[in-house]
Amino acid sequence: MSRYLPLGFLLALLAVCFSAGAIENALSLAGNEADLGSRFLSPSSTHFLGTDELGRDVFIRLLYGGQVSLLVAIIAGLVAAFIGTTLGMAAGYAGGRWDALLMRFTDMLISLPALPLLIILSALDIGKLGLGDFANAPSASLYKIIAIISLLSWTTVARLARARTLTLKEMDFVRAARALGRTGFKIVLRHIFPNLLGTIVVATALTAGNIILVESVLSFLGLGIQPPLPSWGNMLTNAQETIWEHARLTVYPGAMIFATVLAFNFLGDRLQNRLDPKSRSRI
Amino acid sequence: MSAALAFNRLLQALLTLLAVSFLVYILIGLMPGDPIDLMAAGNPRFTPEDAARLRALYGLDQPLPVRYGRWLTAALQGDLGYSRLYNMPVLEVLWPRFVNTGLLLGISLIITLMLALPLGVHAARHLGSWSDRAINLFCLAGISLPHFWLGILLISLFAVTLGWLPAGASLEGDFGDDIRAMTLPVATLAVSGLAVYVRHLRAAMTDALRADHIRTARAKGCSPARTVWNHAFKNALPPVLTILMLDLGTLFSGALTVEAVFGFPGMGKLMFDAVMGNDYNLALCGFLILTFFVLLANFMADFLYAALDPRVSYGVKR
Repeated sequence: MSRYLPLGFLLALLAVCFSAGAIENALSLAGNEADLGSRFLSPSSTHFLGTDELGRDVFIRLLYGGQVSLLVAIIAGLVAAFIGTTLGMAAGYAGGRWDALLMRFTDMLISLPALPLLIILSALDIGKLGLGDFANAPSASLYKIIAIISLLSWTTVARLARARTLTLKEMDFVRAARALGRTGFKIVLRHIFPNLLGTIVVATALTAGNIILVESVLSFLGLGIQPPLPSWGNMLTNAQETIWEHARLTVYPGAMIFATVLAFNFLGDRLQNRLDPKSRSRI
Repeated sequence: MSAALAFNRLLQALLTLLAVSFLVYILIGLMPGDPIDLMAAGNPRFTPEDAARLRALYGLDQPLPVRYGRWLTAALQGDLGYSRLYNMPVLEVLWPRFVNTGLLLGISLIITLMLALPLGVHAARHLGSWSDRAINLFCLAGISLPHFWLGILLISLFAVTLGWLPAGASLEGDFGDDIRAMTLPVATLAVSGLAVYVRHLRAAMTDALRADHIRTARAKGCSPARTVWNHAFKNALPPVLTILMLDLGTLFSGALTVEAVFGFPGMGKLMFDAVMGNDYNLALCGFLILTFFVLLANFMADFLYAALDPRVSYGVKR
């Protein structure tokens, strides 16, 4: 397999998904409008993948669903990377009691049954948190899912960042900086963070893949992205309801999730090998 | 493991459970709907004074720590409240579902391990060979596969197209039917978990095969099979079993997804139904129980590791 295939696939997917509007116009289709006269059409030259239970074009909806899934993966991935890096560096550099406390907390979070916790959190009434206006916005389910997932996904990044910080902290250039009287904050920012970047990128790629899986499960269960906003997960919910008549529809959204997550995992693997050639094939 | 350390670990687990229970209690308050409003909803003659009286009656006018204290005292005595959805005490609803989930997880885990053992050991014995690379590729695909989609695909193949097995998995008590109903959920879970354990086994086995005593065994003419299974495998097993114990939370997550896809009457389906049916007390108590078992398993993982590997002793401090 080509070296750049995973990254190329992800970039192409990103480009195609975010030009869904233009593609929709070019094909003169209306992806989100129900057309009950043309339900469950088979694939044809107008509807590449046919139509769904409301007569909407499946191909266009897959692209819009991809927008949502990728948006969640990217934003939640970046937030998780930020939280994880900050906490990991702080714990690793401060050491001692703070380190123990933060890592205990991380361990606790990792050991919790994640999905049960997520379905409970996704049922939260954010109106009760004093976000009344925000809670009523049409895309509230998108922001809510991003917030919930980022809050539970930073642990991988945090653990790896901490481990690397522990090594870096004892290196001569860091000790030299300390001897020259640099403050802890500056040392972490100027000397430790740049050396952590590779580790963080790998961990973030793997986390992003996982986020797509989590988002799709939650949306599938009806607790994530709310229809009519399409996501690969909630498209599968509808598809499962008509599985006896039109099993074909269950294939596409799942295949998209699978391919995207696989690409993120391959990317993470590849970057890992690049950064640390000694660790051929990650376990 | 020394008694002092065991005590320390136990204390940590209890503190975590306490923290989670507090979190759960706070979350109950943040769920949609208000119990007093719900009572008022069906009664046109309900006045604000009545509401205030009811609030005082149920202790809802007390500050948060006092309310939490009361709830915790009741919970410790086994009173987790009432399920609105099932009109039964929460514990009575949870218990049979918990047994079902245990059964589902247990059976699929046994199958997973039976498949993972030969694959992982084979990959470690032939590092870098084409079969190792194929197994690696399979594992990467396995961890990228959405479990619920696998479930749906299996339904579409075995229930819709072939008609061999039922699509749903409600247990009716008839042994033969129940086995047929459980086949697809068990298969989904078993295959989903496979990739993870093959990876762990391959890593542990690779480490074990590098040890000096393996070279000694080979040098003194021990057969390859005996070297692998008697000398190396014994050392590869403890870390994998420990990971398994530490992974209970992940296993519960997987079970939840699969139960939702197949409608299997387990804990996960119950919590999902509870959240959908606005029965938040049931959902949160379910979560608390799952957390309790996860912490118990984590706590036992330390003992297990020390018991299986005599080289490990946590007690010695230098």
